[in-house]
Amino acid sequence: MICNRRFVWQGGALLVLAALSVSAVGTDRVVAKPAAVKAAAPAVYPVSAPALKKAIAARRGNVVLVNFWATWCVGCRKEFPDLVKLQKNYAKRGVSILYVSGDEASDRNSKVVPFLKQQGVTAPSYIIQGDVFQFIPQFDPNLKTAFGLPRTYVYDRSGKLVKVVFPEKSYAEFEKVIKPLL
Amino acid sequence: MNERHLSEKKPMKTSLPLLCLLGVTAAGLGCASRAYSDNTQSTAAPAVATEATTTVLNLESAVGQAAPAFALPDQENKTHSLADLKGKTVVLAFYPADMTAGCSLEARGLSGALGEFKKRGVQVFCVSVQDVNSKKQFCDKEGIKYPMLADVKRTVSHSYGVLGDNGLARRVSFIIAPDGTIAAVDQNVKPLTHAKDLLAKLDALKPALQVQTRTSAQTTPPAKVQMDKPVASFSLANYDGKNTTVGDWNANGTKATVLLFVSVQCPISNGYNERMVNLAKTYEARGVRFVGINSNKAEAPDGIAAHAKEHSFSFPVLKDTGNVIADRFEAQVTPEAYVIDDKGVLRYHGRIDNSLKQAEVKTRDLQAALDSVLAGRTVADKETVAFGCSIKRVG
Repeated sequence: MICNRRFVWQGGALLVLAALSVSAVGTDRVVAKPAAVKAAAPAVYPVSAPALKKAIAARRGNVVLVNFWATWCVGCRKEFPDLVKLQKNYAKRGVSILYVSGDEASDRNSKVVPFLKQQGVTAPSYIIQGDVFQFIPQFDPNLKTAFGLPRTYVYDRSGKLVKVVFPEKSYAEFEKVIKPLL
Repeated sequence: MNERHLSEKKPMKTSLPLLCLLGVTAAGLGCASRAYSDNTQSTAAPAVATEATTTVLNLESAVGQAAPAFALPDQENKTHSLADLKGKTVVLAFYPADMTAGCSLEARGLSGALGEFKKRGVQVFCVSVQDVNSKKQFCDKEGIKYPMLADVKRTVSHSYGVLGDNGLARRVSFIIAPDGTIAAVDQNVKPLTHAKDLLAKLDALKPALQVQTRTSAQTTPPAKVQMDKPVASFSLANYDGKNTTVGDWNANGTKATVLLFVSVQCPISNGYNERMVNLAKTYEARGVRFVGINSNKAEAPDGIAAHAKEHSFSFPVLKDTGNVIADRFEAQVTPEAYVIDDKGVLRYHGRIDNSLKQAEVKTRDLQAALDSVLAGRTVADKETVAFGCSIKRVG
């Protein structure tokens, strides 16, 4: 059962990565492709650190924000609507936001998906695969202190990490970060 | 009548957000810039210009926020600046207009209770938008001995979020803690009983304000802690209000001290409650002192006490008002652990173990650090990455 689930997740992740790699723009275009996804609940794929890095690289040409969040995180829930709004307003200018949940895998369908749906997120997003303590050093080997949620990594159009933003920020604060990169 | 009309007139519903928006826009989003730069890590980031900051306080969420700076002249044309008052508790009472009925009542009450305020080490200021001459006349008429500040340009009233759309300050009072954060806001000031109400509030806030007085009174704040360097002692109020000093590192045979930044609400921190209790039980018997610290601005001592009781914490949980200690330790999340040896030297900083799921723990980092310290060995992995909920700071 676990093996099957893992297979489905990995398969799903591969599909998403394939979709991301052919997408020239942001999240919106990826979602727009399968009509079935639009009507259904947002897809949330378990992601490893290397797979997430590939997804970020696949969006080169865009300003990419990778937002780590969780349904249990008050600050994350607070800033989430601003990020959704930011994505909506700046998608055409090449801003792409990837949401990565730090929730337990068992909470994916019961908490993560309903929250994303309620926030109006239709694009596929991610949930950390496996133990977060193994994920963090793989994703951010330079981090020496603490990884608190929310935490947002900001990449310029060349795919270079330019800023790490934490804890929660407002729409205006995020706007101030991305504008010089556009 | 006129004053009553003016003072009771409510600002337009849109005025505060509008002022905020104007302030933010005028400052080029400067409101956010300071907080932002404090909490970001630049990785060869493009320079983001620093612009002038215009902050407008949101009264509904002002407690715990940094009090906006001011420097205003009093009735004798002497300038008083908040920056010069660090280490003191300050009452800042905004009122609509000099020489009017309600304000006179309020001023007389405050004047009469001045001795009580002084006894508590509290500096009282009243602020309105009339000029120094008007203040002088008002003080002479009412025999007011404390500073009445003239905010003629209305910038201070604006930044405290009390400027009405009639151009006058609304009757709102602030208690500013010694560290410069707002400890209380009274938006329902009753002129006749205001002095008494303020004194009662000050007494209720006494434990937190006292601790802050000591912390802020230190002329040179202790430097941020560093690995393998001595840690300066500190004193905070436990959830029961009793002050607890952390820093007599080898008192009563203490061989090591564990500081645990914890939270009442954070599920990650709560996921470690049982593990923290078990660790404390095991290592307290071996001479290790455990101290919990709660630096989240929204988590009050009552809730911390109930939480500690509910989870049978054997160790105190100290309230770090104004996140002074979290800042000194640069603690970012809950849970986050520190180990200090019997000489007061920091030997470990990071996570408790390597898995959120107790059953899947393979590396017990905190325990390993303690074993090393107790055995007099060097801690192999001195710094690990803690994961959890961001500590909600003031400001």
